[in-house]
Amino acid sequence: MMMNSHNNHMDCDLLVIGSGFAGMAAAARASGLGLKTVQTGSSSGFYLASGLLDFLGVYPVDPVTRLKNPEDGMALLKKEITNHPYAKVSENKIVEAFHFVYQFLYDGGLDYAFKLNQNFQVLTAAGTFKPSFLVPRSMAKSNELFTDQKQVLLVDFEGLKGYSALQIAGNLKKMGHQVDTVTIKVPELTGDFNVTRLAAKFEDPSFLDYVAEQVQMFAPTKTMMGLPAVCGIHNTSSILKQLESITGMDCFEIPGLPPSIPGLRLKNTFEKQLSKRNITVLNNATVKHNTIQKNRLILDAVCQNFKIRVKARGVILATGRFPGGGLRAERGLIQETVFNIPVDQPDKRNLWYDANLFQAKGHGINQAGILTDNIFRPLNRNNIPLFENLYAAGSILSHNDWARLKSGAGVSIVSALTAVDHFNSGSGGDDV
Amino acid sequence: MKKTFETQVLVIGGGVTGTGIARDLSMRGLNVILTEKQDLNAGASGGNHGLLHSGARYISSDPEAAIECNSEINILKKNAGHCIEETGGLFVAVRGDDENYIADFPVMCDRASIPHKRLSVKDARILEPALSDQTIAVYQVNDASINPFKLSIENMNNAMSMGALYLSFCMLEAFELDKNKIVRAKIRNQINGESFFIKADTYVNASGAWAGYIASMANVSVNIVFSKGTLLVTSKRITRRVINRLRKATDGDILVPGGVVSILGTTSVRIDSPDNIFPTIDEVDHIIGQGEQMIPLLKTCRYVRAYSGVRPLVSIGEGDDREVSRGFTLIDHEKDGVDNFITITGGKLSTYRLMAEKTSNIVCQKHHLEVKCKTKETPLPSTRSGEWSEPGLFIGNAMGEGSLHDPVLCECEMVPASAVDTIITSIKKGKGMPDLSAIALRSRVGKGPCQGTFCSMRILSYMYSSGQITHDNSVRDLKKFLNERWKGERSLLWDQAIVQSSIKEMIHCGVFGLEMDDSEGMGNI
Amino acid sequence: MFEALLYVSIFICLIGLVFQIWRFKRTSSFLKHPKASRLRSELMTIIPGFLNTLVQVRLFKAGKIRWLIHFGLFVGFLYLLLVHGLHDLTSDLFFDYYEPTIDPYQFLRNLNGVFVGLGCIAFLLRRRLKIRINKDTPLKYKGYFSIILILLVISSGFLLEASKIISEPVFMDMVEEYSDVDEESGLADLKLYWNHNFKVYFPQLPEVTSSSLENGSFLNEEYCLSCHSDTKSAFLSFQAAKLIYYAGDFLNRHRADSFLYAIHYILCLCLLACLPFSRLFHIILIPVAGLVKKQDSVLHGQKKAVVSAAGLYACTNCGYCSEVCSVYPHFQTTGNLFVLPHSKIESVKGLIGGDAGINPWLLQKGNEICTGCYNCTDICPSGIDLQTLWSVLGDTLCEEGYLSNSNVVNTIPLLEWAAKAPVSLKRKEKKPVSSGLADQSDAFEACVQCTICTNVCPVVEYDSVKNDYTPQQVMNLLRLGQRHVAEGTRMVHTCLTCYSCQEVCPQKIPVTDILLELRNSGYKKVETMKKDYLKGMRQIET
Repeated sequence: MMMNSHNNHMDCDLLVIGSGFAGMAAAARASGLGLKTVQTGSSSGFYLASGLLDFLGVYPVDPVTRLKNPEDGMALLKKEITNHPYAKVSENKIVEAFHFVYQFLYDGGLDYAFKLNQNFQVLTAAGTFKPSFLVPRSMAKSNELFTDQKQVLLVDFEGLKGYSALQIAGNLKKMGHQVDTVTIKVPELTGDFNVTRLAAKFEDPSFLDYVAEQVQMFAPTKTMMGLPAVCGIHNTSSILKQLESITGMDCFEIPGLPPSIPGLRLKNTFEKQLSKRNITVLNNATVKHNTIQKNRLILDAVCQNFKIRVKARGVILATGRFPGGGLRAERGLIQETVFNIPVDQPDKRNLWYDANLFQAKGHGINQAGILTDNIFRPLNRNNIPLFENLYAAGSILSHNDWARLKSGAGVSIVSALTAVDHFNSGSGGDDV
Repeated sequence: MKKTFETQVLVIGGGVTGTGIARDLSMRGLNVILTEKQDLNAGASGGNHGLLHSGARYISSDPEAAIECNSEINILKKNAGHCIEETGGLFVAVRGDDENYIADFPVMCDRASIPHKRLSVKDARILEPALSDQTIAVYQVNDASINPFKLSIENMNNAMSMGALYLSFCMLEAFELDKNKIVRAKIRNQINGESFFIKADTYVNASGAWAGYIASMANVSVNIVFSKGTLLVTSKRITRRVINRLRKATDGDILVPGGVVSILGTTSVRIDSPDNIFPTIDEVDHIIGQGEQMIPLLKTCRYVRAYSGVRPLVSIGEGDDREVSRGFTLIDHEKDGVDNFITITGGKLSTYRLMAEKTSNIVCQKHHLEVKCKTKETPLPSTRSGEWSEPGLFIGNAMGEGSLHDPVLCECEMVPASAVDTIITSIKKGKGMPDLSAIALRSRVGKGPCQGTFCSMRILSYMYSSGQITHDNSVRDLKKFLNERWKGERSLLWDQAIVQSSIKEMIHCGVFGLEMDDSEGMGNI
Repeated sequence: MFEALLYVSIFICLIGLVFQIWRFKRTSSFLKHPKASRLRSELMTIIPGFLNTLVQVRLFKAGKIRWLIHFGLFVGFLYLLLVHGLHDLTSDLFFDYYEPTIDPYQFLRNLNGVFVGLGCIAFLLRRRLKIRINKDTPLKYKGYFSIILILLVISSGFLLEASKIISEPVFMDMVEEYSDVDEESGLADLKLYWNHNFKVYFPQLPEVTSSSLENGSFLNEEYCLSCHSDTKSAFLSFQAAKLIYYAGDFLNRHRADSFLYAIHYILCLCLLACLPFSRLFHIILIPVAGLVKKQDSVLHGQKKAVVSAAGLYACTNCGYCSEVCSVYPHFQTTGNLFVLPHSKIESVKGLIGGDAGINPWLLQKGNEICTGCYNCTDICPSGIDLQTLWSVLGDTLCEEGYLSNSNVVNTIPLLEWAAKAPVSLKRKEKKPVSSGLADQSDAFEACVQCTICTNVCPVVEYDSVKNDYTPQQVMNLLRLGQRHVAEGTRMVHTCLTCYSCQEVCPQKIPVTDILLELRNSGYKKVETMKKDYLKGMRQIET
C-alpha cells in the first residue's frame, strides 16, 4: 500500500465502497487474493442485520411460497426475473460463495450452520419462522420447531424491550407446541439498559449458572429452551453449549429487533478477520467520484476532518440502498450517489409503494436499482458497462427485492465475489 | 338471552361532537351511553388540522359561520385551555393572489366583527421568518391550534366521571323500530363479535360522515356528500402561528402548528364512501405545490405523516326548518316520523361545543327537562390519560421522580411504559380492548418519525409480558398497526423517510417475514 | 562533629517521617466524601512489589528513553549509596577486598556518578524545556529541589575525588602510613611517577629521567598498587583533576580535599534529612502505596487510608500525565492549569496544606473537564490511580460547597431545570442566539431510531441506573423542541465524549458534537445557578 501523506493520496488495486455485507465479502475475497484493497463506509449497518444469511427463502412471492430448499425456486426465478442478480450466476457459484463466507466466519471464530439444499426455518421474536440458509449455529435448532411439536421453554429478560416470551409462545402454541415461559430478572440491569450489556453478561459463567437456576424447574418437562439473541458477544456457541449441559435442554437463540447482537458478532468477526489481512479501511469516509485517468478510477474519500484521493484500478460499489446511502430518493426521482449511475426505477412516484405495506408481490421501488451486465458491471443508458472495472454488488442491484425473496445475503455475497473474481482474473498485471 | 343496557340517551359516534354531547347531557343530569364503531376521533374529528378558526377564513363564503367561530373560539380558550395552544394566526397573500380579495378582507372582517390587524410584510417576516419573500399582504387574526384527540378524550372522561358509559369498537348494527319510535339499538362488539342491545329514550346520531348510513337504519334519509381532505405533518414546527392563505378558501392554504410539528392542508375531493380513505401521492404533491408558495421551506422540509379526513356536507332539502346554521346540520327526525331520533352532522371542530349545546337542547326538550347548558361557563377538567396525546407535553413527567426504572417504549415521542399502563387502564375502564392501535390513538405512540418501526414490537411485547394481551394473534395486531401507520406514511416516502421505511420493511418483512403470515393486516375499517 | 551531624540528620529524617504520616492522615480525612472511604481502598493501585521499584516497569511502558535515563540514575544512586556511601556496612563486609580507590570500584563509582549526574541534568532539562508547552502559558513543574541536591552531592563527590587526586598532603599521609619509602629510597621517584601518571600536584619535582620513572614505577607496584589503581580509571574525576591541577598549589595548601569532603558529607546528610520532605521520598512511597491493594487484608481502617494517601505523595510531578491528557487542548485555550493532572495533584496537596493561593472553584472547574479517559492513570510511572483520585477530588470539593456544573445538574430535578428560563433567552438580542447543531434540525432529524448509539454508549452501559436519557433520546428531545430540557439531562453532562455514538451512527448524525454543544450551553445556565447558590450561601453566613 502506497500512501503519500503529503498530498493525501492512495494507490490501490481495488476500492470497495461500502462496509455492509457485500462490501465485507468483497474485501474478504480481494484481500485473500492478494489485491491491495481499500475499503470505505460504515459497518454500523450490521447492528440492523438479524445475523441470518439468506439464499432464497421465498419464491414465487405471490402467493407466498416458502422454500424448504432454496434450489427449488431458482429455476422459476431465473426464468421469470431475467434481471435478477441470481439469473447472472450459476447455482454452483452461489453455493461456493456461501462456502467462502462460512469458512471466513469460521476462521474468525463465528460458528454458522448450513445444509446443502435446505433452508432453516428460524423462529423470530415476532413468533414467525423465517427461511434462511446460512444461519448462526445458535439459531439453527429452532428449525425443529417448524416441523415437529416440542416441549419448549421460552425465556425473556425483564426490561429487554421488544421481546416477549409470552408473545412468541402464543404463536408456538397455535402450532401445537407445549410452551412455558419464564422471565428472568437481571439484578444489575434496570431502566433503559443496553442490549450489549446483557449480552456481555452471558460471557460470565456465574451468570449462566444464574440463568440455569431460574429455568431449572422447567428442565424435567422441557426439551428445548429459546432465548433472545443476546447470548454473549464473542463465544456464543460455547455459551449455549454450556447452558445446554447445565440445564439439559437444547438451547437456541431467537433474533429480534435491532440493535442486533448477532449482527454485532458478524461485524466484529469481519472487522477482526479483515484487520489481519492488511486492508486499508477508511472508516466512515464518504466517497465521491472524481474522474477517470489512465484506466484508473479516481475518487475522493472524505472523512470528517480530512480528504484522501484514492486511485483505484477497480471499484466495487457496495453502498447499499437507501439506508446505506447508495441510493437517494428525491420526491419522484431515485439517484445513485457516488457515480450517478442511471437507476432503473418505476416511472412515477405513484408506483413506488403499494397501499398495503405487506403486499405479497412487494413494492415497485424494491425492483429499482442498478442494471448490470453478467459480471455485475453497471450499465449506462445504452446498456454498455460504464467503466471496465467498475462493479456493483449487494442490495443496490436492481430487480432484487431481497426482503420479500429472503435472499439478501446471498445476492450480496455472490455479486461481490463474482465481481472480485472477475476483476482479479481480468487484470493480472498492472497495466500502467 | 342477549345483554341489554338501558339508558336515557344513546349517542352514536365518538368524535368531538359525540363526546361533546355526552358531556353536555351528563352535565344536565342525563344518563348517557356513547357507542363508537372504532375508537375516539376515528373520523373527521381526527382527520383535520386541529385549527380553531378565528372565523376570518369564512368571512366571504359563510359569514354566519365566521361569527359563530369567533364567539366559540373565545369560549374554548377560556374553558379548554389545556387542549389549546394560543398561537395566533396570519393571513398571508403572495404575489399573484387576488388583489380584490385582499382589499375586501378587512372590510369583511369588520362586518363580522372579527378582530384583525394589518402587519407590514417586513414585520411579518420577522415574526415568521419562514414566510416567502413574495409575500405582499399580511393580516393578524386570533387563530389557535387545538388537539382534537385530547379534546375528545377529556370530554369523554368528564362525561364518564358523571356516569356516562363509553363503548369503543361497538358498532351499531340495527335499530328496532316500533311505530314512530326506536325501541332499541342492536350493537355488535367488533372485538369479540358479540351482539347486545341498548335501550334508550332518545337516540342521537353524531356519526359525522356516517350520519346518512345510521339514519337509513331508522328509515330516515339524510343526504351526505363526502369531501375528503388530506393533510401533511412536517417533522418540525415551521411557524409559530397559524398561517392562512389570504385568498378564497382552496387547497393547500393553511399551515397549523401543533406542538412541535406543523400541519399543512388541505384538499377537497368528492368521494363516494367515507370508509377506507387515505392520502394519495398526487394529493400530497399538490398540497406541497400550493403550500410552498406561501412558505418555500415546505418544498424541502421533511414530512412525517399524511392523513385524510372526510367532511360530511349535507345537501339540504327544501323547507327544512330545523336547520340552525349553514355551518352544521341538526335534524330532529320527529318530522320524518321517528320521534326519538336526532341527527347532528356537518359543522366544524371550532363549533363543536355549540353543536353539542344545540343538540342537547333538543334532547332535553324531548325529555321535558328544563336544564340550561353549562358547557359555556364550566371549564373542561384536565385528566392524566389525556396528557399523552399531546406532543412534547409529557417529557417532563417521563423524568419525574422514580421514573428511572421506567423504560421508554416509543423512542421518537418518548412514551414510557408507565404511560402505556395509564392508557391501558383508561381503555379498560371504558370496557375497551387494549391493543396497539387503541394505544396509538390515545398517545403519540407511532406518530414520530419511525412510524411504528420499533415501538410496535416494543409496546406489543410489553403488553404481552405484562399480561395485558393474551391472545395468540400478535402478528395480526402488529400488521394491523403497521398498516395503519403505513397509510399515512406511504405518500410521503422520499429522502430520509424512505430510509426509515426501508428499515421498517427490512425488519418487519426481511427479518420477521410478516408478509408471509396469512393473517389479515389491513385492519377492520 | 560529623557524627553529631549524622545524628542530627537522622533525627530530622525521622521527624520528617512522622510529619509524612501526619500528613497522610490529614489527606485521608480531607478526601472525606462518603464514596471516598470505598474508593480510598483502591485509590492507589499499582503493580505491586519490588518489580516496579527495581526495574520500574511502569516507567518503561511510559517511555523507553526516559526509563533508560531514570534507570541509570536509579542504579547509579543505589550503587553510590550502598557500595560507596555505606561501605562500612556493605562493601567492607561483602567484598573480599574493598578499597574505593581500586578498580573496578573506582571506575564504577565514576561511572555511576556520571549516570546519576547525567540523569539529574536530563531531568532538569526536561522540566525546563517542555516540548508540548504553550509558550504563553508555560507549564510549571515542581520537584527541582531534590534533583539539584543530588546533583550537588554528585558534583561535590567528583570535585572531592579530583582534589584528592591532586593532593600532595594526602599523598604524603599515605606514603607515611603505608610505605617505608623516604627520600633516600626514592620518594622523589615515586612522586615523579604519581605526578606523571596520576596527576598529583607537587610544588617542586626533579627532572624526569627514564631511570627515575622506572624506579617510581617499581615503588608504586611495591607499595601503592594494591590499594590504588590508575586514577585515569576515575575518568571524570581525572579530567577534573587535570583542570584544577594548575591551581594545585593553592588547593593543596588550603587542604581543599578536606573542605570538599566536609561539603560532600554534609550534602549527603542534607539529602538524608530532606528525604521525607522532598520528592525523593517517592523511592519509599511508591512501594508503600503499592502495598495497599495487595495487602488488603492486613491493613485496615485508618492505617489503610494513611498508606493509600501515600500514593498522593508518591507523585514526583514528572508531568507524564499532563502530556497525555485528553483535555490538554482545553488548557491551551483557557490557560487553566487545573485542567492538567500534574497540576491538579499539586493543588490537592496545596489545599490540604492550606495553601490560600489555590482557588477551589477554579480547581473544580479544571477537574470537571476531565473526560475520564484513564490516560493519566495508564501512564503514571508511580502507578497512582489518578482517575479515581479525580472523582474523589470532585466529590470532596462538592462536599465543601464548591459545586461542579454536573453536580448542580445532577441534583436538580429535570422538571425544575426545565422550568428555569434558558440563559440565552434573557439576552435582548432579536436574532436567534445560538445557531449550533442543536438548533439545526437537519443535524439530527435523520435519526431512524435504531438505538445503535445507545448501545455503544459507555455511560448508558455502566450507569444505566443513574442515567436518564440515552443519546438517541436527547436527539429526540431536540426534535421535539425541548432543547432547554436536553441541556439539563444527565446524559449530556456525563457524556465522556468518546465519540462512539457518532462513529457508529448509520445516519451520520454528529451525536457527540451535539451532546457537547448542549453541555456547553447548559453550563451557562449552571453558572447562573451557581451564582444564585453563592448568593444564598453568603446570606446564610451573614
